Amino acid sequence: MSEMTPLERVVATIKRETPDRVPVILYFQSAAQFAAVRDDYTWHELLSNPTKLYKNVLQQHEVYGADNFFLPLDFRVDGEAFGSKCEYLLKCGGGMRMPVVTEFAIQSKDQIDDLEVPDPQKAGRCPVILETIKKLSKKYGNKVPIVGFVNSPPDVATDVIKGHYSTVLPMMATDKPAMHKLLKKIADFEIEFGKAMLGAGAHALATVGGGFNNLTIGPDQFREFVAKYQAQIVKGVAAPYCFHQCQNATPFMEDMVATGAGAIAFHELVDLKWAKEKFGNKVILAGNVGVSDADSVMYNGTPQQVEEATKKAIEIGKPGGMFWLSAGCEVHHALPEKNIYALIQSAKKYGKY
Amino acid sequence: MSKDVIAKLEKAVLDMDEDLARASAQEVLSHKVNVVEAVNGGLIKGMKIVAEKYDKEEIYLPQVLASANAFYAAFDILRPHMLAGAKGMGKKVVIGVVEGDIHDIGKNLVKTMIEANGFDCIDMGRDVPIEDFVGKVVEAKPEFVAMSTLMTPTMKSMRRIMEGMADEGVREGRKVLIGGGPIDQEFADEIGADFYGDDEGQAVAWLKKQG
Repeated sequence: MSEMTPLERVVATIKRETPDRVPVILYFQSAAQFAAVRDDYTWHELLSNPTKLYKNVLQQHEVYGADNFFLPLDFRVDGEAFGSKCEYLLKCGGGMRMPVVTEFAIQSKDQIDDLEVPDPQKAGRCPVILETIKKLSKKYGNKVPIVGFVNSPPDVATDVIKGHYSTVLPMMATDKPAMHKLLKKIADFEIEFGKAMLGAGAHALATVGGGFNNLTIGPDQFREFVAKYQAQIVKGVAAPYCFHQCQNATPFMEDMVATGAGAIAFHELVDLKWAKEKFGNKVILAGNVGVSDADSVMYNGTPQQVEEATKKAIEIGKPGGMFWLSAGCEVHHALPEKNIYALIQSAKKYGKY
Repeated sequence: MSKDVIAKLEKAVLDMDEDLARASAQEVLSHKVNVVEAVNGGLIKGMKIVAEKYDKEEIYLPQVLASANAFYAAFDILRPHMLAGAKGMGKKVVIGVVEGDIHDIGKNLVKTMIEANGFDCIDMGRDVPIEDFVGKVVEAKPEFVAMSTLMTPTMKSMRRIMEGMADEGVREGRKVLIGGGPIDQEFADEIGADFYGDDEGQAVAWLKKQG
């Protein structure tokens, strides 16, 4: 089979056809720091300027060889759009730091009614993202998938209301009507933001269920506060959509698939073989070479070990298609850069159909 | 009367009812109920049941944190009235989420259970700068230091706090426990911490064992 473009390759998997090889689809986020350091950009400069962001994001494909572009690179765009303020500091235990919310849009649940759903064409850094997607689309629109990131509504809620998780988690137990009112507004925004990114040239959208995972909530709460709103977004944007869930998503996988998302991505704690057998003919699976934990192969292993782990994941995921090789979570700035290359090159080596 | 109001405190924690917790705490004071008995027999008993349900996965963090809010709604009223010598072990724990990490759910849970068991917690919050963490240890001279992080990159902050404590000469004479998603006992050994705990139950059990 002749070599496909990354876009043809990914589209083939979506159409349940056989691509030339397994696509490598990455949530390439804080690893953008490597290029930022080389370019001498601070996080604030990088995330606030479409020209600089474009120059950085294009490296995901041009330098590292991934089969997609992924942006925004950080998690705070959505909360900022609602009016929260962030700090971008360089100092951090592990290197550069992504923005953190320092002023919340609302101070208590009593203000939820007053919260306006922002216009993604104007609010916060959304215009920066849209402009960057337009630039990417102009050059790569016909060959490399551009994936726009919409954050998961409960995670955005923690960036919008004062108190962060310490407010949102108890609210799920003690004031469900207020919680749902807030999540509905956020989901409405995510649909509009998603549509705006698609309008700017994105081919697909992706989300990350971050803090609301098996360590914090149970299956019923996942269904009520996470999956319900993901399903609304999937339906509202009507586009190819990948739903990543952090930590051990095993108890939530049925609900993730039921959202209607075309692809499901998950942490290395999920048994890929089990997922392939159970869901491999229902939805595209994206996974799940270890990247998060201290003993994960991409964080702590050698390139040779990454190659072995990648080969193993491909052996499980590749048969029958509907599989994207991916890391178990975001590709982050504490990884040895050589392991990112090893992951992608190994997928090219072992992923041919 | 005493039994009724203590039962109400327990119910307030189990029902995640902050208003009932505050009202019951006021009742404890107005009716001169023994405050230590009220805290132990009502609030702490309630939190222990909550912890058991959490361990059995009958409830999850939303309910646990809501119960903890009710616990503190009453405890903050009663704490000043507890006799100094009656506060469990009365030892100090400086606790916080290390620099670079804002995930404080686990830390808050550990703090609640530590306080419920009679330790004095000095809560540094989250994303605590290394020098502030070390500075607080120098200033407060606690018996224990507890650090957490949920993220791999910020594990390095733990190592730097350990180094900072050694540099300032305050590592000796106190014990350090760590917790969080990406780490384990091996990492604790590597950075010279005394204990790694999987959850608040392990943390409290270990602290109590230290005497």
